[in-house]
Amino acid sequence: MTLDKVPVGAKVKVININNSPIKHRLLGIGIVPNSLIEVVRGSPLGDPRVYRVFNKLISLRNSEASSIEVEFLNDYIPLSLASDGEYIISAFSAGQQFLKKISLLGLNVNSNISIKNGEIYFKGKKINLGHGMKEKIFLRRL
Amino acid sequence: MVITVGLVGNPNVGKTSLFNRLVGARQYVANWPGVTVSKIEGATTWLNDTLHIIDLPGTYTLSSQSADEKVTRDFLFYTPPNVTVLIADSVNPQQSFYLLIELLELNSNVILVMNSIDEAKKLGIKINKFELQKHFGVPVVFTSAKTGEGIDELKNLIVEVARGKHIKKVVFDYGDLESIILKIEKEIPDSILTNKRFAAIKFLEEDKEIQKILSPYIKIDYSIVKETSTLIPSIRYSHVENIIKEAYSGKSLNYQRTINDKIDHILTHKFFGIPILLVIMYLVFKFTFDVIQPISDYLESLLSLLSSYIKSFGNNTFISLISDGVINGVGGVLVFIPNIFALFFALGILEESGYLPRAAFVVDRIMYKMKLSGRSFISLLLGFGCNVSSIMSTRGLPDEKERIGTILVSPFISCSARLPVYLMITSIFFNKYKGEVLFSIYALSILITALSAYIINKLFFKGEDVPLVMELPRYRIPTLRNIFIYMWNKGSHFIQKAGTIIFAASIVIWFLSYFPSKGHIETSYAAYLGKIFVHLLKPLGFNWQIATALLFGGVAKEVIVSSLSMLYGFAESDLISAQSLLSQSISNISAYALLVFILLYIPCFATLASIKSETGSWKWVLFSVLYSFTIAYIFSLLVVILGNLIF
Ligand SMILES: Nc1nc2c(ncn2[C@@H]2O[C@H](COP(=O)(O)OP(=O)(O)O)[C@@H](O)[C@H]2O)c(=O)[nH]1
Ligand SMILES: [Mg+2]
Repeated sequence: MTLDKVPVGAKVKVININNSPIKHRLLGIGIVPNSLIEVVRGSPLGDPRVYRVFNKLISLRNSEASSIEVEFLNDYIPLSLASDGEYIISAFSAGQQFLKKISLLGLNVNSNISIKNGEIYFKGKKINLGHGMKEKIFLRRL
Repeated sequence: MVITVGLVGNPNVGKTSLFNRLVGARQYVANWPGVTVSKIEGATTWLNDTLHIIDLPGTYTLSSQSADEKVTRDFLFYTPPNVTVLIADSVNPQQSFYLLIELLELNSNVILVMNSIDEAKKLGIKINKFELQKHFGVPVVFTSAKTGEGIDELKNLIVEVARGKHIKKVVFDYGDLESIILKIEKEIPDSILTNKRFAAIKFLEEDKEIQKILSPYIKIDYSIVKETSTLIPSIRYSHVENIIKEAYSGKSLNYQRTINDKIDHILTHKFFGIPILLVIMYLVFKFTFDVIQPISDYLESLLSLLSSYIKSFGNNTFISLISDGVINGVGGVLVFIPNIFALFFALGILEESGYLPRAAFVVDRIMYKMKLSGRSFISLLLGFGCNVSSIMSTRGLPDEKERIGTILVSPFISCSARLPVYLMITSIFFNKYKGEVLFSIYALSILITALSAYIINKLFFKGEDVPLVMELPRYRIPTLRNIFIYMWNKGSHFIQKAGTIIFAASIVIWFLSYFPSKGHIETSYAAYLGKIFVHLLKPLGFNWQIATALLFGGVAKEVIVSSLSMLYGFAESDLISAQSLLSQSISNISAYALLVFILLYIPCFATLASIKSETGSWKWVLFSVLYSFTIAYIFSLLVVILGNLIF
């Protein structure tokens, strides 16, 4: 996966930097294999986005971020990109309103959920979540 | 002894602030912005020595990949200063320490400056100086460019290091790669490069320049180099993290983080981000061109008082030269100085607080389409006030392609000096549709700017994108001291450079319109020139008076108004006689073509002078003149042709 595909709020680990005219600058800034990157926010038009690298905020265009190969941390997989399996909710990356909405469904940090055939099950019952909401829920695989 | 000192560091760590502290506000500060050199130098005496200090462009690496990295690298590589000072950010030191490791592989007379120590203290971060000295093997000093702490200590250290004080040389270990590094070192002939370890490491990092020099001598499987090019930076960062673990303790940075995030959440908000930017830019304009205007007006009335006072001494050639030529010519530009300083005052606040990079971030997507980036948006926006300030503000653009591109297109942004000319022409020819006509001209201005940015990038930079790897620094409350330094450094340039050019041009124009017939404009050289120039403009339907006014307007666009008034022999305020005289001489279609022509044709003298000084080359000045004239001609002609077809 490349960095430009990672949803806002997620934390990822860098695997490799592909060749590009800004490769050396990216490496110098601290985007090196094994370093952690957090996607902090997007600009009003979605591109560029801000990333946190060693506590510094760095803005990258999506075309630039696409030269960076990353993978999710095991305990920080966004629900929108999780494959089938058993998970525990590790964090939410959103504001008050979202938290209210989500607690109405009974979901909390540490709740167990499972994914089967791409559908989400909570306490044995199927629940429906929009893609935007799924991007704000982070899971740890059990 | 004269000691040369190079200041190296990431962007935004406080190099320039520290430079100002070291050199002092009263010292001579020279500036050479240009294609290859954009470093600032200044000198100060300390005890018995002269410190010659060079502020290098901010960089994250010493690779030779991009132009700004190359300036710093080449300087350190080919003309190493006596002492290199690495300025680090005490609050977020990782990237600074990475650069330090690279630097230590290149040069040995290095001092590590831990700047912004005031902020680190406030945040409760504890830094162990001796651990840093032990691990990096260089003297360390804590400074604050804000409070002045540690500046004298730094000066003492510079002198000591220049005299030969060293702690010890630390070699950073690359583990398994050491054997390859050693092998390459051995293969480098002595006659090629002396700093072999640096060269070998850079070779393995795929540094283009070093590879070019060394490739005839090095036998290596290049698939290894593919891997080492990311492995080496990785290993450097692991050194950095280990050192920080040893040297840093105390509070974490979460407090700073939440405040910053909250401000960012509003200022770069999905829906409010762009409206907030527009409001802020509106306030900057309001401040620069409205709030400050009374001062400009006062200056203007003083100058016209002076001019008429001088004229009261009689009517001879010398008095006319002083009052009509020098005072009206130079004064016409001087009245803009309060606006220029106000503009830089406002910009200083935006830049010092950390907002400007956010603004660039918010609009980047739009600018990207024109092969520019968000950063040039701010520069171009300023052009609606004055193209000179727009060009001068491009100094902040780190990418050379973008900087040149922005400089060359900025004259197409319709500056405020053109407005009086539009107003005069529209009120004579299009009084009923004034607003619509003016709007169309401003729309055309934006359209041509965007189009030209694209064309210029295609022509000179082969459609290369301008990258936007940009740091969003933490927010700070700007200090008055910094804003005044900022304002003076950027604004005083306008007085010096544009002032001298305008002075010379004013005398030339005065000469042309005064001689040979002592003030009778009809038979002056100027009229003669206009009558030649008009042949070129005949297809557009312009007459010789307009041609002459356009020629003079090359000095400053407002001059067109006064020239036309002079040439038609009517008072500027007397619109009725103006209407009858001017409206009879050209058609409405030609009048609109004239508006278009005034918008687009050659940049004024002050703008050209700024293009020269900011690009460092006459080539771009020439291009700007030819390109804009061609564009102006084509579009005006289109107006005439289409206009005649339709009406
Ligand atoms: N609090 C604090 N702010 C600083 C210090 N040094 C620089 N700054 C601020 O950091 C910002 C960037 O400084 P500047 O000198 O332009 O950095 P440069 O990009 O490295 O030249 C400015 O807003 C400065 O006012 C310092 O020691 N303490
Ligand atoms: Mg600077």
